Amino acid sequence: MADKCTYRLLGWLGRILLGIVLLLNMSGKAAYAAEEADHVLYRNETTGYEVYVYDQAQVLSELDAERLAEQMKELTQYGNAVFWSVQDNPLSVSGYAEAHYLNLYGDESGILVVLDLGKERAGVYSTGRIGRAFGARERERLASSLRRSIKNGSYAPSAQVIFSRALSAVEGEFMARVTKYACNALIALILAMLINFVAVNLSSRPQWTSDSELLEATLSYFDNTEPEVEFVTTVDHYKPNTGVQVLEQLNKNPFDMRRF
Amino acid sequence: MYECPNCNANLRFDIRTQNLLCDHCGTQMDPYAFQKERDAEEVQVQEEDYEVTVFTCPQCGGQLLSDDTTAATFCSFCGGSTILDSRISNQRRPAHIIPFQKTKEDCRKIYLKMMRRAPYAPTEMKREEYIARMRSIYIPYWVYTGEKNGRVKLSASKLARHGNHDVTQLYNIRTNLQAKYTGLAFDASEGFSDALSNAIAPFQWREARPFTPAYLSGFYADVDDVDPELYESDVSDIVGYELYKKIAEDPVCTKYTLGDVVEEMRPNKIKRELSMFPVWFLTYRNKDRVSYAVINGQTGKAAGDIPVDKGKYFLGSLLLAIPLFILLNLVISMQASTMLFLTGLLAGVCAFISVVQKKQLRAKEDYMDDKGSGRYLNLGKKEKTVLRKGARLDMTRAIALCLIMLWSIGMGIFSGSKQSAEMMQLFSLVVYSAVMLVGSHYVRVGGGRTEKPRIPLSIKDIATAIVKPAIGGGIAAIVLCVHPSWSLYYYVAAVAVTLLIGWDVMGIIDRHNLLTSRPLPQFNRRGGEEDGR
Ligand SMILES: [Zn+2]
Ligand SMILES: [Zn+2]
Repeated sequence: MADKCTYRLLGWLGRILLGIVLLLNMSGKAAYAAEEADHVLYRNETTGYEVYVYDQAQVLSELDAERLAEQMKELTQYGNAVFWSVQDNPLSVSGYAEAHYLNLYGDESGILVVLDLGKERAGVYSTGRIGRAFGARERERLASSLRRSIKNGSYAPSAQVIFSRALSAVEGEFMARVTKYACNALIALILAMLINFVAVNLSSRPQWTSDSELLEATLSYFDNTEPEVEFVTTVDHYKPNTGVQVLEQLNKNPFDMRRF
Repeated sequence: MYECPNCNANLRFDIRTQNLLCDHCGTQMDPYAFQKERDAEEVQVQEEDYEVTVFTCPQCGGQLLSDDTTAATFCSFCGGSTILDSRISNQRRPAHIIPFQKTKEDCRKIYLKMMRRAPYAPTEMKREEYIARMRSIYIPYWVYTGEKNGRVKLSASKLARHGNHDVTQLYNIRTNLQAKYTGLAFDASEGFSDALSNAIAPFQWREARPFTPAYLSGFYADVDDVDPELYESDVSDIVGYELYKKIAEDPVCTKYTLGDVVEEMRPNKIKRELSMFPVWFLTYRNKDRVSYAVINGQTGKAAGDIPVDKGKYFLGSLLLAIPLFILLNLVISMQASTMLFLTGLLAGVCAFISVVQKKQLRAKEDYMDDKGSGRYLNLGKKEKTVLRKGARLDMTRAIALCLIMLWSIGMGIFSGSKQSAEMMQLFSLVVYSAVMLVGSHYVRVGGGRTEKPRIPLSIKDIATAIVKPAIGGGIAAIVLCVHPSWSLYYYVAAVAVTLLIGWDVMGIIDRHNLLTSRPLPQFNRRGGEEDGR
């Protein structure tokens, strides 16, 4: 419990620190932006999302970078794909990833993978549509499972794993949603046809006028003398009590218990 | 024809003033003024008959009476636009008449209001030129008086429980009864369906006045051609049951359980007379079928058989599907197999509707919904006139069927996430279909005042009615049974089932349109040849 609290507190402290760093960064924003363009390897013309690779720690060979970018391109249907490597940084890896993504693309949909060589860890941040399909839980789990391979120095494959997982997650979610819409559309269509029929049937058929309504429209006269009641006979029927009958009797007169 | 004493122009009965009115000079006349003049000369003739122009439609043989000799240009029975043949004839003189109270403008509004509830009606039915053909027709009615005078003896009982015994005490209750109901009316026109006639009933008998032909000025009247004895059993039933209810409410009688004493309560005297009641009549003709809309000319109560336009119906369904779609998206996200299961269920609903409609059509073909047609199916006496003490629905059976159905639906939907979901859904689909089939067998249609008979349908009838939804249900069942791992199969199957349902809904609408219309009438009225059918 206490550990968790400290962890959370440190997280917040980190975020505040980060804010300060970013604020300081703002001043250098113009220069930063000019430099930024070099890292955009691809821009999806239809969606406007980008592939952004900033290999600060120089962990990727040229071939690696090409392959990775090729893979990241596919994600641009759903959001921006950013790869970032760093020798060392003062923040937590996930905090670092979040901060840099927000700085680059704000609240646009996308994913950022950072490889922190100093901590020997991968950090992932995802948001928007990609974030919905590939959320915090999945990315934490995936990042920690990749620790060993990062330690072993297989940087590019680790990043590839993360991007491909994110892609399949977002595509799966996309399919699930399409499926849901398709299912609901079919059912809604059939329901509408049937509901309409019921409505038509109720509204467009002549209603039946009851006999008492017919009688109300007549001229009527009714009179009877005081009925004379004549006793005829008594019929006795043997019928043993069952639980049900006892209950029925009780329901009729709950206060009359003498018979039982 | 009545002439204005002032200017000799034609007089017509004016609904607003309830007097004869001269459009030319504005003179108003009491309708009975003419009767007194003529009474002196031809008392004898007026007792039985009166002279009137009879218009006959050359297309359908339908006849309309009028005191007007100018040509009528369309027929209200078959909707045909044609000059009707006219001749002067003597007709049976009605005893009473209820004059029109609602004007054409009143009824135009009433009609449009009714049509507002029918968004899928053909556009033609809402056009002003069409509505302008609304015609005021006095429809002949048989008006009955049911009387009960004298002493009645009722058996009654009281049940008490002593220990292990049911003790029933039997009594006789006697009372002297004097009761009279005047004004139970049934249409005496073959061209007027019982269902519509009942729907615009009742006419307030208090406002009936002695008949005089002057009331017909400017109006048409229908010919009476229904045997008056036809409705006597209905009158006996209605009055008998009413008297039974009245007696049962007597403070003395409420202490007892009355036996089956309705026979004892039947009226011992039933009298009848012919009267004219006011009805606004509008005929919609579609190829070789007609539908009627009618409005009670006294009370303004409207009824109509309104067909459905298929194009409008499907467009309306598409529009309705949008909010349903949004609602479904908010509420559920279902698995492919659940969706297929649901389409199968809905196909079952279609099959059910189709079977019930088939029964309704059969009932209509047999003219069980129209006593006045004279082809009233000869049912057993028991079925025909069992006095109703509430509908004889077997509640336990109905509830059991409903529960089984709900259970099977629930099982199918909520098993969606389990391993064996498809098998459960298949099973519940089968159970559900069986329940639907049994249920549709029990549904009773047709009949009006008579206890609704069970219409026997042949296997062929049922098969043709349910073939499309059954194939749909079959596809769903097979796919659920095979349960392929690739969900695409489910979608393809569901789309196929949906298309089959759509196709079947077209058939359902066709059947609905048959039910809300009738073939062009072929009258063979008095003086014509024998009915050759
Ligand atoms: Zn005049
Ligand atoms: Zn005609």
